[in-house]
Amino acid sequence: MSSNVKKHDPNRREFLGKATGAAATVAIAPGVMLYSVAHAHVGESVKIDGKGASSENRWGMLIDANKCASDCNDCVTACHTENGVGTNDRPLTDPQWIRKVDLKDNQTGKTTSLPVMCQHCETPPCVDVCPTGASMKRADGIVLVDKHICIGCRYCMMACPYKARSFIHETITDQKEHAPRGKGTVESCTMCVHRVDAGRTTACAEACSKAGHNAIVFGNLNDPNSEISKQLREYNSAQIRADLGLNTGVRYRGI
Amino acid sequence: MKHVTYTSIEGDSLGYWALLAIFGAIMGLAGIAFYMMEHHGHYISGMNNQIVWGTPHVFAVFLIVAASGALNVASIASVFGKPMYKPLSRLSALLALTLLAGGLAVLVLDLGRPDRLIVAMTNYNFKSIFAWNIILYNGFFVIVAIYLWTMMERRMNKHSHKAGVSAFIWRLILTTGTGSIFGFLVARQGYDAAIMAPMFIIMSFSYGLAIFMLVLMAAYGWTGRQLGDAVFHRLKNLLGVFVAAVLYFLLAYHLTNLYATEHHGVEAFILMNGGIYTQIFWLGAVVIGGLIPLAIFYSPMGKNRTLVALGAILVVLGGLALMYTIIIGGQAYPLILFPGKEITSSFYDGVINSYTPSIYEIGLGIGGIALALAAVTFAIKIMPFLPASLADSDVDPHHKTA
Amino acid sequence: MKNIRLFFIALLGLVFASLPAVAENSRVPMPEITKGKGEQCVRPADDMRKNHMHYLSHKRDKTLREGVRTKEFSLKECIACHAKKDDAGQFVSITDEGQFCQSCHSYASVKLDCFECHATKPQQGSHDMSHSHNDNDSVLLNKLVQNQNTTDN
Repeated sequence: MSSNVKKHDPNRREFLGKATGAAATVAIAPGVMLYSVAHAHVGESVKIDGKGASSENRWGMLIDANKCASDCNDCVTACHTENGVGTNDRPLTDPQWIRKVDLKDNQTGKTTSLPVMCQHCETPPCVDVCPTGASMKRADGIVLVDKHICIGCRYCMMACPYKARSFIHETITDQKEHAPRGKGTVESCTMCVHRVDAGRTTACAEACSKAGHNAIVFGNLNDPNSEISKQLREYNSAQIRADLGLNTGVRYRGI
Repeated sequence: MKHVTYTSIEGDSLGYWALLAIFGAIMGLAGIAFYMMEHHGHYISGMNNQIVWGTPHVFAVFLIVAASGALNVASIASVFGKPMYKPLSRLSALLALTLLAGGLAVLVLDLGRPDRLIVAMTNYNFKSIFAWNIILYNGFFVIVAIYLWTMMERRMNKHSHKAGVSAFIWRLILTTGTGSIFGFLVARQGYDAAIMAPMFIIMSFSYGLAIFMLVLMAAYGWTGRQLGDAVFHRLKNLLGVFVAAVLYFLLAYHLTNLYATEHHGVEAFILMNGGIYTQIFWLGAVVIGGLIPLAIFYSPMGKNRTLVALGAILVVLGGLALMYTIIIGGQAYPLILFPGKEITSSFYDGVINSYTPSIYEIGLGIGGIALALAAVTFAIKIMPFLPASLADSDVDPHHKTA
Repeated sequence: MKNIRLFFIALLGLVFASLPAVAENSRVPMPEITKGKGEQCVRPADDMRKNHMHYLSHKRDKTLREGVRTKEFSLKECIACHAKKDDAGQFVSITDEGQFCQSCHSYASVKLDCFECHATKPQQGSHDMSHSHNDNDSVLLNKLVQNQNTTDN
């Protein structure tokens, strides 16, 4: 990734990734992208450097519930396809990295629809409670499970206020190359870390744009010129369970 | 008071071997349960992504809490200097070790990756109360083992007071840590309470002593050794105090929660409309584990040893019931992500989570109890843990020879 | 004490006595080490044989925790290079009988833990493998391993 300021523009990030991946990408309007062929495979086509995650960045997403359609599940499908999260038709134990929730205000009856996933807290309770340090936060704010040292105690799932984590209850085969997952460990949204490291946007944001909703903006919260920072400056936004003071990386509008 | 003679039990009767065989069989079944859960994955258990800690944790936490409580009898003797409890100290420390071993075995065998136990022992996140618990458990083994050594090795006797005080302080810290595993969970309505730590300590007093009494009665009854009324009634009355104290802490905990509107939902769930959890709380934890034992201990029924033994069994069952409501009931009540809004999703948001214990989880849990008891049964055969007699004339300082 | 020592000496003797027999009548097949696609591995073969686990373990932490995604010692690259294709042109899992990781680990009787989680074959299409495997290379390497084993015996 080059170190110029423009790298923070999410559209440019996407474009670079796609262009080098030889996937024809047409930008028809800011924030709206059309994809004509299969997406590039991560890690192969992008420039790889040895620098890694930096605290100069803090990756986050802004989700506009006003634009989120109740009957649309595209972000969920895209996420689970991207990361190879399958189902065994056992809803109680099947993992969900991202889910659509529907809200109805008790007083007014107003309904809202929005996706909920790992909120990538600045001070994540899951990281605090993890006995081995498997639950960890990268320098750029992405919260991950290091499955190499996860012992499967599930204390992080007890501690997470967002129900963002799933325990893998059965043997998994045919994992995606970029998303290792296995029985007996805990997992959650990785903010598509493999894509982010390759200079691309998240699968959910990409799918949402593709569906024409543009309800998810991915970007760098530390860059004042990024689209996400601009929108957060301009509009009111909220964090889920802001009372806990976790300073989440995922923010919402219209909740 | 006479000099106390400790002897190992003969342990060559058919009954003795039958007892060990029963424990062994239970442990074998637990081994199968463990294999099934690890081989197939946890989906065959009742646990899921909503109820992430299930029946194994109920047993494990109960045993770990009871372990530190079992040490109390020894502490009363060596820390608080009550001579009558002195002869019971060895068994008390032994039981503390074996109960902890049983509890930890269950906890470890339920892990998603039990093969990575070494990781848990070598990677510590010092902000995690769970990591501290691992250190505290290991330390408990070492300190109590040293304590036992100072009691059983004549040349080390002079150090047993120091060792006893260390063990007592350590066990208080340990149970504070165990309670804080739940107390520190800020996200969940049912936990996130400082009272968890002291409540777990008082629970440990109660469950540890109940198990201690049951083991003592069995050991003395089945080996034909004398267990005098003086010792027995002391223990019984003390257990009564602990049982009442647990009820008091429960009262304080729920009253505090009831005052805050924020917690009305979870309180109504546990206390009123939570179905099975409400029943287990009131019937199991309060009536069976609290009120009935109190009625037995502090009425003329308390003179009947069989009834007192029943009372102690009820305390144990009530303890398991309370753990069930705390651990599983606490998770069954959904996380509140959006206060004031009704929430629905495909991931069980906003609904009371269902949980049915599986045979594997129960097997594993009972296996932990069997392990603890088998270890005691075996240890008292190979080493002199038990006084040859606990008759009043032998141990009661106030005993008057007729 | 004396009995215990005697027991261990006897045990050791038994182990040593049975060693040649085990080697000769081994039911574990010799590892079939297929050479990768490139000219040269990222380190010499004997270094890799001895230290690959350390390289992988160091690399995994760099990648997961620090986001350093270089190709050297990346498990993904190992697999991309050493995975074979079957007759139908589909990649064979690296943990299948006789494949690169599996055959050697089963020979050495060392449990492989990587593939509880990691993909066992390159993603079809993500690694363009134009050149086919050279069977002669694999024969050559097997010979090497065999020689080493005979000298060990």
